[in-house]
Amino acid sequence: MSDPQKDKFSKLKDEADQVLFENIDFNEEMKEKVRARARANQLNKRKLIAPIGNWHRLSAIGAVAAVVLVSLSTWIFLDREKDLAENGASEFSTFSNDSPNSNLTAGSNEIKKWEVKTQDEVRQLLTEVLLPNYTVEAFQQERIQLQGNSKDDVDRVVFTYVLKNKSYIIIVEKDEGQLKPIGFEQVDLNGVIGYLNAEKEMTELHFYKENYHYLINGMISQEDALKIARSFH
Amino acid sequence: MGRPSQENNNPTFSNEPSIALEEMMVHYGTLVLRTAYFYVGDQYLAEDVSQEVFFRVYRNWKKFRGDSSVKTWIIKITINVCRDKLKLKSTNEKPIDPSSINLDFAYSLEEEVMKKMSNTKLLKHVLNLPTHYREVLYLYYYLEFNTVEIAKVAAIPEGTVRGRLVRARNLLSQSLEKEEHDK
Repeated sequence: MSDPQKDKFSKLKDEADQVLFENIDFNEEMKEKVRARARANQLNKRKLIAPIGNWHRLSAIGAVAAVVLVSLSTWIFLDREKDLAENGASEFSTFSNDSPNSNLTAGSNEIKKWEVKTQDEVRQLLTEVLLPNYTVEAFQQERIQLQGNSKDDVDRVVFTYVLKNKSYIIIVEKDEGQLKPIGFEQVDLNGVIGYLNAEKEMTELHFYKENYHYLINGMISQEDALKIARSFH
Repeated sequence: MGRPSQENNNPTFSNEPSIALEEMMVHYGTLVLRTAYFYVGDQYLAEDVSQEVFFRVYRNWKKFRGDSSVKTWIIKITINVCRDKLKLKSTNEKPIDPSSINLDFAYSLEEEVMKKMSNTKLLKHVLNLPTHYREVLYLYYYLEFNTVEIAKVAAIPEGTVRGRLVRARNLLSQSLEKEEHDK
């Protein structure tokens, strides 16, 4: 028996393919970048294996020498083994460490991102936006990231705040479409309409002013989200 | 009745990572890219994400135990990379909240896409829903996962998935009815 709900919403996939994902295809250029990265990863592994191969050979020679020369001195043998073990361990730890997520090779069209330390720096680049004046108690501002084509053409600012395992973000971005959310509660933010949704520990609050979209989103209460929104100036 | 698992439709891939990588990029490349785009809302960032996903798939292919389907595994990696890229913290103790990773990209899509969006019957309403409802609808209707797979991919309990699906469908229905009524 077919799922009536599935039938009702089954055209969602088609609409997404035709509209949202039009021209979003994983092409040969992207595949080649993955292949290049995989090849580079293999090459790095081979370079790292060589010294370990040498270490194995040295260790074998040392053990044979120790057996042959056992009568010379027991403490020299132990010291050499300890030395080889320490050097080997550090090589292994270097080798076995997963490479930290490295920045991918930037495509020629990558959106640029950079960080600033203060709101004043944001204000210098984006003179017309509103910025928040309230931080939820005990949260610390962790990062301010700007995104855009260049510092003269910033599209988005993302403020990140953290408190141990909780976080929230504030996004200020250029937005001329102003498509309003549906299913959100409308709230008054000093004369501007806000769109609020809160569920358990998470709150999401949007508002729009003068071609900018403002979003407060994260593990904070409704009250705090509203305080943040009303603090923008 | 529940939806069958993806495992029944799962293609098999070579044990050799470089060959499996090629096969998986053919099978899942576009799906990964579109999923990344859905989450991060930026085409260039989505391309970064998809490349990182396949690199991680390649690097970890030999460790893949088959606890889930390959598709489930790859999409889970995709969602994790999206979160890494958006640089938001999450913990294992709490349910990962999708609303903390989705930046409501619907509001900053290209103008051309926005215009086309207004002609859609369902999609525009879906994109206006709160982000965790958008996510379950996307995973269920677009990626065609069942609730067990969605729970694995999104790292939330299956009960939560079911609840969100019900609520999401209700909100979507209300939104459609409202539009119909306003005409």
